[in-house]
Amino acid sequence: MTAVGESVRRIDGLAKVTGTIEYTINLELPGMLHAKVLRSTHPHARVVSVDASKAERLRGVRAVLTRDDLKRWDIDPYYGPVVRDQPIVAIDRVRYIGDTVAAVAAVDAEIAEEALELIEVEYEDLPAVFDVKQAFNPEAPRIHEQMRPAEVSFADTHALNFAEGGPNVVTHFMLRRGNLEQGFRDADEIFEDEFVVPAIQHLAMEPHAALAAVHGDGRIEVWSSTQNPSVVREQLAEVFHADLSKIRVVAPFVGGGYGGKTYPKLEPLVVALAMKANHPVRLILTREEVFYTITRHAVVTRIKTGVKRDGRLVARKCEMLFDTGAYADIGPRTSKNGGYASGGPYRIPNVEFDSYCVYTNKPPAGAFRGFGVPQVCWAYEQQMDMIAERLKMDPVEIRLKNMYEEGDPFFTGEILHAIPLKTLTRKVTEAVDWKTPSRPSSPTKRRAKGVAAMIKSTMTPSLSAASMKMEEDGSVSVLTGTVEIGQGSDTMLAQVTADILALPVSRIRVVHSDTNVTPYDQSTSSSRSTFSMGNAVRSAAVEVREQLMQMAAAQLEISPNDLECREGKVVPKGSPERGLGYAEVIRRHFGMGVGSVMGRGTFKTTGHLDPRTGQGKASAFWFTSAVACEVEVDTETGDFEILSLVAGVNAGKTLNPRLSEGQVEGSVLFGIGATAYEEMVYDGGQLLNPNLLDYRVPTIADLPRDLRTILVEDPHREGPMGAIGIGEPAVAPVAPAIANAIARAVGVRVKVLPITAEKIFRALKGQADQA
Amino acid sequence: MKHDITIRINGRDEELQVGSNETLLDALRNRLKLFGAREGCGVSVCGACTMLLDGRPVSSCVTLAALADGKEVLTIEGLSANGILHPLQDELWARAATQCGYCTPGIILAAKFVLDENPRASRDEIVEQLAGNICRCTGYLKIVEAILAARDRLLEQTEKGAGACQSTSR
Amino acid sequence: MYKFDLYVPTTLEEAHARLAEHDGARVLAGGTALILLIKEKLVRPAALVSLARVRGLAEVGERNGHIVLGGTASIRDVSRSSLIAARFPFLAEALGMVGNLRVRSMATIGGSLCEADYQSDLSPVLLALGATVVLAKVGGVRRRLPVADFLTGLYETALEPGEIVVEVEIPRLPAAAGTAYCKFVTGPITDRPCVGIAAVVTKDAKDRCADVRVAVGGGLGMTSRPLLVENLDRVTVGQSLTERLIDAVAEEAYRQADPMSDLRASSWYRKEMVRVFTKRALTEAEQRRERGERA
Repeated sequence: MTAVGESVRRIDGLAKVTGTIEYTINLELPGMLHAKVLRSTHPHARVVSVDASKAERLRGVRAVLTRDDLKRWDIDPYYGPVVRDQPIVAIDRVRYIGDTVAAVAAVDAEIAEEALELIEVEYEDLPAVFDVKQAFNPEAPRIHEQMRPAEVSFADTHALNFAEGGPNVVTHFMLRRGNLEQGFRDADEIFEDEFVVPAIQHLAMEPHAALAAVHGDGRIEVWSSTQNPSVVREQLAEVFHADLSKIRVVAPFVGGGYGGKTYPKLEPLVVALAMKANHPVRLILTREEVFYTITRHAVVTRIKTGVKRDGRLVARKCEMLFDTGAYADIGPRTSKNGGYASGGPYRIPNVEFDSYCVYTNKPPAGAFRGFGVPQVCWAYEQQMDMIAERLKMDPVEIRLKNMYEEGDPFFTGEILHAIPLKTLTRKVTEAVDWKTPSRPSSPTKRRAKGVAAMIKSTMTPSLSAASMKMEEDGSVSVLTGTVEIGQGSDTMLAQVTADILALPVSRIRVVHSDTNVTPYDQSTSSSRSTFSMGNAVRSAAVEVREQLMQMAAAQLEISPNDLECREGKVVPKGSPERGLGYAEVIRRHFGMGVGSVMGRGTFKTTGHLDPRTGQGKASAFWFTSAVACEVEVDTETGDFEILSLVAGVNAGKTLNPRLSEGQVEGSVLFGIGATAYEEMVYDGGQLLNPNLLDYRVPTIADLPRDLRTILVEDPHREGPMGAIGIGEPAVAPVAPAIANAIARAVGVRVKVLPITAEKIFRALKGQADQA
Repeated sequence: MKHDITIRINGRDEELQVGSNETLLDALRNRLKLFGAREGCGVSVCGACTMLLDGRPVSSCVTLAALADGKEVLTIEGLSANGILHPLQDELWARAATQCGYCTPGIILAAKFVLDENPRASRDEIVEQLAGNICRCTGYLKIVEAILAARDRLLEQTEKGAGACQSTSR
Repeated sequence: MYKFDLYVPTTLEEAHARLAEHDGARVLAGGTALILLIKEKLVRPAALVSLARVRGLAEVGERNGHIVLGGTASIRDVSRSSLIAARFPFLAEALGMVGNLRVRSMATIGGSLCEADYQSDLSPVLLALGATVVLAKVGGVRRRLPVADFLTGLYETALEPGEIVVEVEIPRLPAAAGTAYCKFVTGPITDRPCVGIAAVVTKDAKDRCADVRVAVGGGLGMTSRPLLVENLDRVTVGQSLTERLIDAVAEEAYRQADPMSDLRASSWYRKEMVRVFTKRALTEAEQRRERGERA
């Protein structure tokens, strides 16, 4: 009856197809007020004055939160997961257009919005810097006067060097291995290129939302569309000087996350407003405000690689500037992740990687599906094809020649395990018929195939805990901090539980993240839930099972070693007819027909990197993926079509094939959007397309007609049943695989995302860029 | 300005007093607590707020509630009467074509409209007509497969239904 | 959303009366443009007069040898009309490409014209067809303006305060005409056109060009108005529609086009695409004419 490996239906699916699923935006509390936020119209300015008196007098307004409140209260008004640099509302300055200046709570949203217009703010402009290269310059205007690391942060930020290298550098990650100079001396050819990725949006369909209530006894309750309630709770505790046990953060179903709902976003503001108004307050962002809240890092990558004539990579120097916008958010870790990933999935003996997290006067950038890797993969996988072309080698051949294998040391020195890169690359290229060219649909069109691969780490160290409760009827509640953001974690965790306890999935309920009830979990991100929470839940289920067996052993007068769990019963091995149903076991044990059996599980991963060399252990396990595709380019317009695309991902063990495919297919369309359309376009600090009319994302018509997923199962020795995560790995190789195919089709190498028809056409025309 | 209106929502008449500038989406969410339609973009692009107004798909985020006076509105809440799922709902669930679920009601209603109009709609037609419903999670493949499967089931039901009618008339 | 008062008249007279009563009142048609502008705080009318319940404005039919599209006829109804599919298949196709399913079912012909967006699928086709806009004023006074004169520029029209677009009249095309609308998007298929080219080819009995028309959507012409390519008669009349002639027409369109740069494309690229898609539209129109696809 094992539920693992089956495409069981999502346990939250019925509520989703009937529209009854509960998101934060649906939640209301008695007496609840509605909040709206006043945002800066200046990219960088000193806030001379904020006068809310007129707004406060508007009928229906209950509270206006300004910097005066923050100064008056005994709180620490700055938050941020790595650096405490973001004020609840602007205190002395605003740092980007869209920055939070003040907030209103009123009896309805319309009045709150009306009140915003009555708040008078006087600004005094400061020099602003928008381009990350300029911001990196030692003479650039300084955006933050001081740098204050968060008290509670993640241990792996110790691998970073803070405030080193320029006025706007938040952190600098360094990796040194081998002898770079010697490596370049040994090289037969050296390649040096610059690749650029713009800022893009997560565009979760549900906007960020939070609802807060502050009680007279000091308890704070928050319901939020967050991916990591534990971190939000920690940060609220720091800001409001409260015990963790007095703060309750609940994450209802989240309507899409992709990294954009990690770390505090609206919660400190909503709590502060609720405090001031003495009423519960709910804030739902407009789509435009989401654009101003969080983005994917724009990155400039300079990559220099030395190769031998036979195609072996011998040296690489890589420097990456991560544009983290006005507040660091989790940018320091994103840039660290991109830093050690910039060697790609290849053995290169001599390397120096430097990645910088840099402030600019633009909306903050943070976690985004792929966490720094898509940006660097865009660089190293294109350069790989450029190398192959110069050396007259097949792109697949040169990759296979250099790819990491089981047992190889990574750039950090740690030994790699369960990384079937070569298998993935072979499978996806075979699936697109790599060696056989196909005929274009018209004489003015050209076709070619492209490939790309990647390796990515997971958040390490990290901690997940779960508890489990078997009720007296034999049904099970799983208490977990993992947030169901659409990825199917509820179903996956139910399957893991069902497998251990030999129950149908229908008898298992997953209780959602609620810090009052569910044990600590670091975050629903980094594709870590299957591995980390899967293991924690598995341990909890094993503990429940062991207790049941102990109880049954006493009842049946038989050794627990001679018992097993089958189909919801504890049965003596070999004589299933003597088995006792779980409910019966519990009833007999307590002798009163009631009672529950509790299980606990904790799973911890460890790792640490040296801040000067990047040597140590970066990741508990590694994601690997490869993508191959075929494109057709219209030489008259520069437009291109993706004819086929095959994504291969190592799942370790596929726990639910349909849900797993869905993760990969979703990743691919994310990749296609970033490749073809998506870009936050700025004029100075002014975002020009903060809406879905002008920020264009893939529709169902962008689905390649031939899209296939290959799930490889190279089990990880520590994964639950061998499984690792699959939510992110397919994103990164999509863009470079398409770029490589286009280059092979028409000889145009686009180095700046997105790949537009115009860029290809312009290059085809041989015209210099006139912009 | 206030408007006293009557809308037939999912088969039931609802009397409401709405403001001139109140959208149909806000009226149904805030006044009737029907949460199946949601705002995603606010500008008629994403389709998360899709409702059928007198059988036609509208973006309820830019439809004024007062203009729905006297009309019929179908939302996702009205689709599965008596606890029996519509084949579109069942297939989207069975084929894992819903992930976070935020866009799902809109996609189901848009697909219902397309299949109501053309029960034999081809894959290409379905894709063309559904291009105004953005899903950021699934990558769309499973949505296409689910709608095609639902189409086939609906066709089968219609054919069986026709057969049943004939037998009764005999 | 900003506050406004909504009026829902049932007759044109009443609509005019409401418009006259309220200073700065705007006509609300399908709402897919105007409501959006209000939500985005780009306009702030004190009153809206909805045409949704005004009777007799949504007709799609034939009158006095003209095809008539009512001002509140929806984009979808026109695109799905069998009359339109038979008379002007490229109009039906162009409207089938507008925005998305919901926008097509909500937006109206009159509303689209009054929005006067340069990235319109409707206006190039109406320009190529030589359509006329019929406007009604208070007291039933009507005036007729060719679409080419109604669309005066970037989001600008000749609409006067209090006027309502009641219908669009389209003269019939000769039976032997071929038509095509070629839309090029730089985003997903729901995107507004980067360029959209409407072409009409009519030939004489000797298979020579009698009337070749090309209209450009996605950008304006040198006159800062939507572009119906001028002086094509001089280039085409009496000529065979060879590849060279098609190139010459495309060159003319390229020369007269003066599109803007925006998020979808640069002016330079748009101009280049005007040339490419003019060729494609003409080629397709001619192929359809030869196949007799237009009754």
